[in-house]
Amino acid sequence: MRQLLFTRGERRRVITLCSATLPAGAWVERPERVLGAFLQDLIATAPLSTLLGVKVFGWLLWLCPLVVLGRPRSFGGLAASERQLLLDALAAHRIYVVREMPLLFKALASFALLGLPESQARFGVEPRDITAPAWLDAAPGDAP
Amino acid sequence: MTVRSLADVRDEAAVEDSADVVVVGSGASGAVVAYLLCEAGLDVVVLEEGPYVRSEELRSDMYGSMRRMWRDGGFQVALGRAVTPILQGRCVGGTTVVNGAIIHRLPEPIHAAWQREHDLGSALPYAELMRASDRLDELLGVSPTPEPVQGNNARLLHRGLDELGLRGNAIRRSVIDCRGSAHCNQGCPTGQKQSMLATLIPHALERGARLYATCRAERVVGQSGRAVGVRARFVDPVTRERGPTLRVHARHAVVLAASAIQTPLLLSKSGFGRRSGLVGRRLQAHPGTALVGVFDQPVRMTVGATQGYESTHHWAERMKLETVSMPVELLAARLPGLGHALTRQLERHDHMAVWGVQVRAQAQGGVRAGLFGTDIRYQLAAEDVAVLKRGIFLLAELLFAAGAREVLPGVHGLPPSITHLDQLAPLADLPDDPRLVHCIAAHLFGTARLGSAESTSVVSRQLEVHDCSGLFVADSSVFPTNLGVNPQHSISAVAWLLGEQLVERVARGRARLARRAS
Repeated sequence: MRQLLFTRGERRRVITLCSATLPAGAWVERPERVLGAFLQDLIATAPLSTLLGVKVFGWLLWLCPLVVLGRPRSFGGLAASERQLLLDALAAHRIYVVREMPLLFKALASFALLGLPESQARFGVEPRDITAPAWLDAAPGDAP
Repeated sequence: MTVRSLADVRDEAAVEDSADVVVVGSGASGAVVAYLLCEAGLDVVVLEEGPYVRSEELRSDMYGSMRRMWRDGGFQVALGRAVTPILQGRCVGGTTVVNGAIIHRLPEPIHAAWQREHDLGSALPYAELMRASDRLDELLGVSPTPEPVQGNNARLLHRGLDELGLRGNAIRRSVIDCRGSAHCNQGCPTGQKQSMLATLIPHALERGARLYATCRAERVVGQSGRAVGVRARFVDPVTRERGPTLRVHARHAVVLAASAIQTPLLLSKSGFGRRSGLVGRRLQAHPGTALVGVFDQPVRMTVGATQGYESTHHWAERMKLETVSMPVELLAARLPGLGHALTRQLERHDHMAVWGVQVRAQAQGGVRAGLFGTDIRYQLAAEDVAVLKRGIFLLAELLFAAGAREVLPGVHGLPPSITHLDQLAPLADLPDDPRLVHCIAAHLFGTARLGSAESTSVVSRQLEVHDCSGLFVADSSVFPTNLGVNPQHSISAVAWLLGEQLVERVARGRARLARRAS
């Protein structure tokens, strides 16, 4: 039932936002799949207030290029360099809630991607798990 | 040894039990009470909302640990002008399973202030608390972190403090033969941390206690102004699958040891302690923030004690400094930069040290049941932010003194990276606004405070809820104020005295019954 809280489009947007805040393709194979599985687990287990924050911040961040950059595009329609510009502008914004928006997705991406065995190996964590986290095992094959 | 969880009772319509004493919570206070009562031969039932996770089941990824063993999967927050994450364990052993195992005794000036200004009277005598602390030291293997496992993060703080002529010390921790895996916050994977999961809970179980895990207390059952049991329900804390109800009859007492967040909620739901209007109010905490220093030589925070060195030099100024070796997942969230700027920061994580400042904040908040779950309100006062700013400046000074080539202050309005202390000078001119920095709070107090009068306190000096005999509170809810140091040992020491008091009380009750019968 909780899975209905996020549409497929909203999930794709959250995954894109997380990927933009922490591009992990250099050391994680198919990070979008990991983020998809993480999001599915998060929706199933996190408090509703957290999910509400992810949903609202996801929409705001997706639609903010018009206001922040003056570009009539969504976040998904921006080039990589423009995304970076936008994220940097938001993170330094004078309004607290605005600068918290990208940080939420950065935190989610960090939890999803940096706890993987390949990430822990890369960052020298010992002792480390050699198996993938349970939430990743239980997830369906591909990101939505 | 009896531990029953949702998986064991799923097919049962309802579960019933009875005991001399029912303890709600299995952390720093609940485990101590259960241990003492079992040692005295009493029949004890312990209820724990979280799962029973053995050391060999622990994982090193932070999210995996949080979703399973932390309250709200680690996403519990307090709302105010800023959002403050509130970190609490929710598993058998409570927060002691996922904290840094830091042991401090109740500071004498705090105890004196409680006596002088907060109606403590002659309750909880300091000498008695120290006697309990001595005994807990033995049971939990408390000792200063040995130099070989302190790790470079701790050694650098030691060096910085020496350079500035400030007092510091290896942190006293409840760990025996630490392997220095820097995994305290995920749960010790080698089983060396002497959490309640590894020490007093197994003792209590061996002596006959029955533990119901994944079992959430829903209400204390009262009869004629007396606590006679607890109604609970088995619920998987991760999937939220609901199981049968549990009714436990308490022959002598019910002890709430569920933390300064959950205990007031349970009191409110049960309709007890309301006359003062203080249940869930006057929440105090130790909010803290952390600074990152970048060094030329490798620091390797992944090796060594999670928290190995500290300074209480500025305790009277309401702050304490300590090392915090963060898992890389948490470090990433703390680092400046997004996108490729963040990955560039992560490339040099091995050269980073993280030190924190913890503030004995004056702010008071509250907790109550809300529409979407627990509603925690907490907002740093301006004077608390001023202390935080002083702490941030001091940490940066220490990092540079220890040899950092760069400091990442994490303060809105300042450069994300500085290479000289002068660059931090504008900090003094920034407003004392809690939104300047990201804080977390892990130590919580005061939501069911003790005192002599029903109008100004929730529990008596004997820690019994004023309007419900046989209902006791053993956790930091009863503390009149925060402490300025990590509270695990103070909580356990207070619970120890309550446990001894209950043993005597039950013995007296039994003797009375025996006299009547004869």
